[in-house]
Amino acid sequence: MSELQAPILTICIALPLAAAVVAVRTKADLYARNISAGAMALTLLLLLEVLREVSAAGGRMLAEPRILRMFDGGGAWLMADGLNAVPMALFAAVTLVTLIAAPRRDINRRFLISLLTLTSATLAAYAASNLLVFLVGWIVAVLPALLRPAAERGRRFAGLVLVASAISLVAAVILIGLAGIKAGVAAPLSINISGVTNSAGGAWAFVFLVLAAILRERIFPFHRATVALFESNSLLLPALLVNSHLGIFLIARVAMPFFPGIAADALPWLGGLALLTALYTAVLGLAEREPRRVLAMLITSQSSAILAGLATASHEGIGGALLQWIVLVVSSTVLIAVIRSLEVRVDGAFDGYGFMGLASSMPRLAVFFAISGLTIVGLPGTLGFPGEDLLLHGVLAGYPGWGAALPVAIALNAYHAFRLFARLFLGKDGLTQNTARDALPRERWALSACLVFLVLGGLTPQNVVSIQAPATNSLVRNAESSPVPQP
Amino acid sequence: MHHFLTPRLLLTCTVLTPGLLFLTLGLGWLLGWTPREATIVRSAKLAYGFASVTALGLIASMWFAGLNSVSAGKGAWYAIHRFEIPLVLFVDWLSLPLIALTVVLVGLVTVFSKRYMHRDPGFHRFFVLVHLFAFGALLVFAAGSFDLLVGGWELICVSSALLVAYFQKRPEPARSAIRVFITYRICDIGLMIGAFYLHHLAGSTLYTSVFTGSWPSQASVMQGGSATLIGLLLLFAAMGKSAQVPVSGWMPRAMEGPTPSSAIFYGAISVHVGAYLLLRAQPLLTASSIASAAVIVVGALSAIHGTMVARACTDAKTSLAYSSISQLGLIFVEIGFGLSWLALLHIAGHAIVRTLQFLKAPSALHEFHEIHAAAGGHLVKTGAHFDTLLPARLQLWLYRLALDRGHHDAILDRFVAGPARRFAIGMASLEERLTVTRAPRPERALDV
Repeated sequence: MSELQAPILTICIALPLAAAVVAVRTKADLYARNISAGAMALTLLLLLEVLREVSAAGGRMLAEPRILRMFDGGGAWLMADGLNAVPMALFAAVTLVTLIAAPRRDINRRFLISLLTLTSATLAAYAASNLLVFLVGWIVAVLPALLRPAAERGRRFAGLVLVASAISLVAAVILIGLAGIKAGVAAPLSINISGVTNSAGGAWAFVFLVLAAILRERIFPFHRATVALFESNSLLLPALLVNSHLGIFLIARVAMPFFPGIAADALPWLGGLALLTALYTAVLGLAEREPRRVLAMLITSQSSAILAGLATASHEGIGGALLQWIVLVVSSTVLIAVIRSLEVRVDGAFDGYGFMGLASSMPRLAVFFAISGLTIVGLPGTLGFPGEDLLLHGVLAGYPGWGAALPVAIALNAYHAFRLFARLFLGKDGLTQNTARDALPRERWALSACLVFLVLGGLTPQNVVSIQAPATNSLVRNAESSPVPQP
Repeated sequence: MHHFLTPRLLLTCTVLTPGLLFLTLGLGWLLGWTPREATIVRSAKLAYGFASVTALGLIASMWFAGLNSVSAGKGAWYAIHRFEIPLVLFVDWLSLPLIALTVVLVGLVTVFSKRYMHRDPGFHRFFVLVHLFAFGALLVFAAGSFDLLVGGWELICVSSALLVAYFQKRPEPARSAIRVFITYRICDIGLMIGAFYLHHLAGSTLYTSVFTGSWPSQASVMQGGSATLIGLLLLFAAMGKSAQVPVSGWMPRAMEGPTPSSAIFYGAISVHVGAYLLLRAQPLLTASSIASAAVIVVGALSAIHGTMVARACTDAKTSLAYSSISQLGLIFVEIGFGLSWLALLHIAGHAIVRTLQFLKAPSALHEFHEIHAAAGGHLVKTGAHFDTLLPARLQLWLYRLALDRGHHDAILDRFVAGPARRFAIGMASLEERLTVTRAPRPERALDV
């Protein structure tokens, strides 16, 4: 296996942790924010370098240099390839945007430590070349959400779902490890092996993997957990947790390559369930009016659509899913940052009832919200358009008949996005009497960067599609080893 | 010089000009630049003047070169494996008149808006959205494939909804915008699935791949059930954009926007985009008698509905809106019968006349009084004698039907939106009881 030029991945995982340590020791919260933002900016730059190296290698797997291979048969702990290089850079970028755009009220030591720990753990899970590392990253990433103050409503259900997902993954890892040991594999938990799991325990391991993914992505019947998570006092942390999409990554990274035979039979059903979730949560959104809850339904529906695209095992479906992943993460980060900014500005009088008319005092925040909201549902001229287009083609071809649920879900989600925009920004401003401040410079620059990325990506989508192409091809090759039956 | 001004370049310039203007004004504002009114108007005049010249140059160059069509653009906009979406602009004698009409009418409306929107707080926003609309409309007319057409189609949807909500301090325009948006998006499902099936069955959505020959004597490579399915899906999409029965309820609500935007959207260009889609897909309709019949039935019903409701309306803009629906219904009928040239001429004539009527609507009362006075106070009502041919009870019944606009909105709300909302609220309440989150505060009514 080829290697990266330096242990960049280890540094990228360690940098947020180091910033968290600084945050623990410093008393000035804003200073800690600056340090954290600096660390995340450096992490992002390093991950962009990883992305460049992976692209230069044609998406092939690049391991960390040998010095860090200590256990598990001397195999690498961390690696980068076409599948994880983009999500890692993307996650570092949205963490940085979240840090910069977060209202001053949210910036405290607890928040910063939680955010940086979550980021470090998520990056570790993405970069894992070993199921143990993946498991640790998976579990540590949910801890900040589980350790929130008890008074927060809805915490118990969301916590149960997250804990259940961790337990499922633990069970899957144990079963995979046992199967590997039985087969006499030197590194049974290495992510780079496949085929040893066709034993009797393999089917159960696959079931637990899929269950972990369903729970983590809050697919039906666990979708209500997203609402519970989004109702936490601090919206930004759960939003980052949701935006990691480790459940989708688990399917792509472990379930599909480890169990090609079983996956060929099971993926269409998983895709069907994801489509059901996309449609069902889009319909459920009709009952919601509060911004956080509408947003929770919108994001759950769209992330289910991504899983449905992945499960089609076709180039269009997987390519669209990977593209839409980027779109959803960036756009929802902007939406959530804007919502949180509004909540702070109107200070408690924020329930989404009536038309709030905030555009008159905050026109730029309104524009950020409108563009990113519509990008999620395929606004032309942004990256959302090709993402949605590819996804639609993949899903409609992969699920003749039932695939029509996706365009209906997207139409309803578009309605939710526009309705939320109208509720928040149109009408007469009776709350702030036009006294609230528009986007601050730091918010403006951070959110503008997201929009510029989405628009430039939309004008030249082939650049992004090409970066994702090796991952798409690899996933399709895995799936094509066994023909996919229709449900 | 001669070689430089190729039809391809002229076509590209015509389409891109409003888009570039939109980007300049939009991005400039995001970065803190708000130009003066004079700058905004001058740039619009310059842009649409330039686009009009390039459009006329395109017509002349095609005419003298004896070309039936011109294509411009690169191969794949984005591609993955064997699937690709081409970025190709295409004009023929169907789209060219509509492109020219668009740039000229949008230019005229921007000139008109200089005074009409003067000192309005949203002056800049209005122009930005009009440029976005113009770009979307030109993209629809100049798209070389149904995939690219979807892009322009959605831009029209967004700009239309945002302009309906232009007077943002009142809640009613906001509600109307939501209604317009959801109607568009639901009907767009037809276009999305139709484009998919075209791609799936023909291997491409390029017009040159899906149809053979040149307009208006084109033929479809698909026949039978495929042509029927795609034809019906495209009809559904066209019904939304052209406000045909039973989804015409958004049209009067869209009148909440400023008059110049009403003129360009609901009098001139936007409402005709649906008719253009059907004209573009005419070979599919020709190949399917079911789809053609459906177009005729929808058009005929809309024509009757529109003319009936227009007579019962009490305000000028709503009356004009329903008159537009009626004319669009007739255009649909013409398309259904395969009268392509007549439909195209009807579109152009209707767009021009209706734009004039919409722009004059704010001063209609004043003008009526002037004409009334000039005629010595003896203006005679026209059309009343047709009413008397019907029995009195039927007249009354029809009047009530027209007054409630055919009960279409009530029927859709009761049998489509209502059950969906009740289902959502019921399931949300059940789920909340099963989980530990608090009970939802459901919508009492949809935001439409």
